[in-house]
Amino acid sequence: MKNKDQKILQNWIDTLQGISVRGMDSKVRLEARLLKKAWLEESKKIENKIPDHDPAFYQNIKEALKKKKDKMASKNLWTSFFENKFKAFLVVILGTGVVYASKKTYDGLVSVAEELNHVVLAKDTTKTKAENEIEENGFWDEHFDKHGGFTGFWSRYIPKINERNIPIVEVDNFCSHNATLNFNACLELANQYNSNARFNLGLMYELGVNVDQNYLQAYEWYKKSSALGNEDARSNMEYLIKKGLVY
Amino acid sequence: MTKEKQSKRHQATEIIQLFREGRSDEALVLFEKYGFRKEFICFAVTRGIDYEDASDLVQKFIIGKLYMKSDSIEHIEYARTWMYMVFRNMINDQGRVLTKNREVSLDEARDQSYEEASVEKNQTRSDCVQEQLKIFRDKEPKHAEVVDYILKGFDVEEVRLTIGRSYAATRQFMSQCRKKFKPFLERCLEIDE
Repeated sequence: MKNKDQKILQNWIDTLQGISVRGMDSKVRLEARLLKKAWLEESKKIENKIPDHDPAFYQNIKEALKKKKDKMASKNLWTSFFENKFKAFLVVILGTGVVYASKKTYDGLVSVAEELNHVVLAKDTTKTKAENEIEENGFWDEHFDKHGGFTGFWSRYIPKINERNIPIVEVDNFCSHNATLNFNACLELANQYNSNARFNLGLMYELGVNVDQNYLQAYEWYKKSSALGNEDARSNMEYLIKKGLVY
Repeated sequence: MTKEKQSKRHQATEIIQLFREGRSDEALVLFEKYGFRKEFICFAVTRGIDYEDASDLVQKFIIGKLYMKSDSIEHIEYARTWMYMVFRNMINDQGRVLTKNREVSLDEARDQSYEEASVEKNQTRSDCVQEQLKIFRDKEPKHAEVVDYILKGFDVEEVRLTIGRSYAATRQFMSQCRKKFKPFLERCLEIDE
């Protein structure tokens, strides 16, 4: 549009909207005024036919809005029900996941603990029974007798070697260290009720050291060692069972 | 911007705001108080819908659009523009139903008005312009609609948003409105006041 047309249009719009314009073309002004007057009169005529108050108009609307609200409220109820159901489902799924993960973690930890408890070093069969007892019972247990009575700190200085019924075992019996485990040497000591030798036999069968691997035999020797009070043998027995190596 | 125009804008915004907040009863009170019921019925009636249908249409507009869809307005400051845009679409939908009946009556009306315009010599200039405005509405409904918006105080931006055109195209269209109405008006300029 040309500038002149733009100006005429703006003046025409301004006059129609009741804004006074100076220096406007008289014909355009007349057009605009006549149009505005006609429009106002037409609107007035129509508005006069419309009642000032129409209670039925708003009554209908209010009733319709109330129905809409009720419908929406019931819809919301359903929506929230399904939403909550969905949330509950999610919670159950998540909860199951957490429980499963915890179980897995726990099993893993137990497995690690079992692995740590699993004794894979041969026991020293040259130690005396008393020494083994001290080693097995731990530091504090040595201050208590077998009935639970306190023996005092001096008990640790009592030379255990003087106790009776202690089998004296050769130092170089070839059944004391992983490197020198000899089946026959261990068997000989095991037959002499040496719990450590029995444990070592179990270990040899379990690991297949100088003998064919046999979990059942290992279990049997651990069991025999355990019968003589060897706690490590008991621990290894449990390990074999939990690992499913013996049934 | 005139005060009336400003206030109408604000009033529409206020009503929409209340609908948005779920305070529909208060919104309805203001709708009546600010004269929107009459304004919208009048808008529909000038588009050839009879009063009863126009009243029903305004009710549907309040329930179906103002109450249900007022959240969809992006720019609340253009609430009035949105209201007219939506209401115009409703009228157009209603108009499609009434088109056949209306076409017959329009033809009759046109013939009558042309005759009256040329034959009736006692007619005043004001009556003549009103007659011509009616004919203009029938012949050029889109242009007449834009003239209505201008007379209601819409600025170019508001008209643009309502009819969905670019700014330049809207100005062009407004210019066409003036030019198209001019020949209708010239018939009346011959009549002495």
